[in-house]
Amino acid sequence: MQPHEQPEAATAVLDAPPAVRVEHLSKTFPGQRALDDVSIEIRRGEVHALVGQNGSGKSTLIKALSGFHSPDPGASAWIEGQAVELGSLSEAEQAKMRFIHQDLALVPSLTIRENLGLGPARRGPLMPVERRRERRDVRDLLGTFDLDIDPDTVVSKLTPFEKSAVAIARALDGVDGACLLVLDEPTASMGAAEVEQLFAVLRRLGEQGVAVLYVSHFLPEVLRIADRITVLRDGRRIAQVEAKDTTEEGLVELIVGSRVQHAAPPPPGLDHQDAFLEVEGLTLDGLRDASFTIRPGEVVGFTGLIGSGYELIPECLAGSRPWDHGTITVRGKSFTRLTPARAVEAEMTTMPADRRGLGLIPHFTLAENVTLPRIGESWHGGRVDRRRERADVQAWLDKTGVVPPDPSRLVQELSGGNQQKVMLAKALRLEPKVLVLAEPTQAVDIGASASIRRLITQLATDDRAIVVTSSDAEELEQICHRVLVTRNGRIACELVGSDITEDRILFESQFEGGTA
Amino acid sequence: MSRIGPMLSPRRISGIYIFIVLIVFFSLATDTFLTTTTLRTVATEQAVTAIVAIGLTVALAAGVFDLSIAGAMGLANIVVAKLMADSGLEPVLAIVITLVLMSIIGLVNGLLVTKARIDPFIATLGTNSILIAVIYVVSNNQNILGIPADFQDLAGDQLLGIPLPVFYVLILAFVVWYVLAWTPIGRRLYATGGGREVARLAGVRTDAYIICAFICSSVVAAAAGVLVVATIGTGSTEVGPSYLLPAFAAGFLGATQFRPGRFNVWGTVLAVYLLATGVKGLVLMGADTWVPDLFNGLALIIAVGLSGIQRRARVSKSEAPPIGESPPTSADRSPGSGAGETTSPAPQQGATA
Repeated sequence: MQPHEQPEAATAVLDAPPAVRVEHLSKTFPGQRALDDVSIEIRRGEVHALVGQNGSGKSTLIKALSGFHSPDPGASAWIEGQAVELGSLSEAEQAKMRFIHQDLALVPSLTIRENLGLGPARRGPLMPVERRRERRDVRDLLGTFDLDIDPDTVVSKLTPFEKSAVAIARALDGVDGACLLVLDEPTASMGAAEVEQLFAVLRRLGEQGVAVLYVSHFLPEVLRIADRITVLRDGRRIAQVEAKDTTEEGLVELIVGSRVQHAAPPPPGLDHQDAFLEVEGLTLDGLRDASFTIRPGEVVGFTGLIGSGYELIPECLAGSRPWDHGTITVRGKSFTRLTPARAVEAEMTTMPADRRGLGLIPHFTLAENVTLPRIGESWHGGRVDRRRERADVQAWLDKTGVVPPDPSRLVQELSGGNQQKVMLAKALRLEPKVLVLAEPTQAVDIGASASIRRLITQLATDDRAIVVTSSDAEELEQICHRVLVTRNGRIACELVGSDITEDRILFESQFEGGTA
Repeated sequence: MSRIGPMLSPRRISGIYIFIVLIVFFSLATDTFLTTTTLRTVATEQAVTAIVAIGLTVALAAGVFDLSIAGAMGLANIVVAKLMADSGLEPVLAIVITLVLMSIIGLVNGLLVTKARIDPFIATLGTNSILIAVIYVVSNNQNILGIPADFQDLAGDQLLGIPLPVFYVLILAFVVWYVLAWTPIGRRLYATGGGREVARLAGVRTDAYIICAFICSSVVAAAAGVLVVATIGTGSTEVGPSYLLPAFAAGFLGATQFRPGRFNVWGTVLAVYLLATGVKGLVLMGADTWVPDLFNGLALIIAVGLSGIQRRARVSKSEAPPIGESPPTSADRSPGSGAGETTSPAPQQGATA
């Protein structure tokens, strides 16, 4: 990781009085202790990170703070020194805490101004909206975050950072003296430059005395932004550490409870084999003249900043996005147009990044989802043999580590990480020759993502070529034989062998000097 | 057998329990309810509704609304009557020609939705209105008399003491059930309805499935229209619209039964007869004319509302830690689907067209 400077105010922050203090917080669900005697204290002006695997109790802790869950008896809490009762916070006490969930709760089809105006109407519900004044107010508000965006921009057109900033602006708008801002995975869809912008905003909030509780999986980022870090594991507080005294490895150890072995990619066995996937001059809106060749046994990564073009590649390979020029050749068969059905026929399978929109059907069972491609093959004796189907699917669920591997459950009953594994099982069951994985470990906890990464390296056999697109440079470093980085819609560089390091990938993604 | 327990759970078959309660209640409350006459009337009267609703279930399973079933039914009823009464065609030939003609309605609906990308609700609202105009033109707004007697036997005859229309319902239900529940075609159809893009990415030709689903609902509605002619002995310009809402009600109510969250044939059939039984009982008890409508409306809202609450409770329970990890994350957000795509009208997800 790059060295970083601690904010100058760090020492002052650590001596600041607590904005929120919670002690002996437990929460028991039927059959599960989600939180076990957790205490946490977040000081004014501090960025306090909350880390832990999925299921470690982070969400429960936040929900207890927000009053969504009422905790088990025995917990005590103070907001700015005032004792309060969690789970039955009064409105005034609620107002001191603001929560920004990962989905930001913005309406994409409305403008920034309209989104900010969704709260209580200033003049009464039926009075005409004072557009000019609103516009000015919104511009001022965004200005306090150094954002120069037209208030009448539709939210769906904003970058992820801008969306977050709007959500933060809305959360803090009009509530004087909000003392705690809770951010849940705020950087999930941001590129590295945008993360820095967000951090600048958070540091400024810190200077204003706002305490920030920052929940994230991205440990390098956590180490950069946080003053202190609380680690949860299995509902317990394992440690509270100062960020400046901690390394990423140390943090991972605390989170997982043991050392995680990095899965190193085996050397590719590329003995004069013909390419399984050849892409020639692929051009469409957002990607220009992309050409690359992938041979069996290889795991080739694609990355870059969001919007730089790499994220379009899986969609083209899946046949879900038409392109303007160029050919895609799968094991000798060339396509200038591709439909999903033809991609499936060509034994090229894509696991999309958009789980709910493209990957899985929420109210289908796991078995029904996994067998959907080539469902025709489940036809035995005049019907779809559901018992056989379940047994078949079970094996694949075991392989990808879905817990519990019950094919009869509905997908919508599963957590995000488990759904990701179901999607992987669905792709693997087709035993594709070309496997395209878009963001394969998004929303998966550390332990599981290590196992998925190991699985990917195992899948790269003599008989299969693998494409991975990911915004996670560390992931690519671990599993790829080659990494192609896109910038401004072009493949800007190719990294091979020892050049594939997280720092190098991040550098190449950001590098502005290249031909535009 | 461990699977019997869940199968009998009220969550799946609450309708059956309510059915039994209704029958016992009305049998005790009136002298005339538990008679073979009542049974036969309800079964026959509702056969047409059940047939329309079964056809609609196919469209709903594919994720599309079909409001034009009313027009298809009405036009089929006029066309088949005219072909026999005016053109003097054999009943069998008249029926075949009618059904083939009405399949064009489904084809047009399907093309409007898949190629022109018009929202199904709006597209079929439009075609339905056009069909009603066509009915007036074709019939000259006159009922059509002179239907051959042997054609009317199709509705009037009995087999083993049971009116033929009941058999039509059972045969159609069985066939559609088999296709939807037990074949790859059915699975792909449900997948199209559950997530059109997901299905398309899995290699399902979703456009073809949607077109076929529309054709299916049109043709089945047309068959129901034909049956109405056989039942009342005239081609009437008024047939159709009155079946639209009961068919939709049955479809949505049925989706709370047997396979909650999924439009399914037996659920639909159960819903048709459940509502009819309630109405019949109330009428026999001397209820006012407005009571049946009230009963239908309340039953639909309560059933669909309750199953939605149940589902949410189940999902949020399983989101509590052990099985999963954290609640759905940003990756679960789906971007707005393209213009003209419909969201799945799975009933518990709030049916919007």
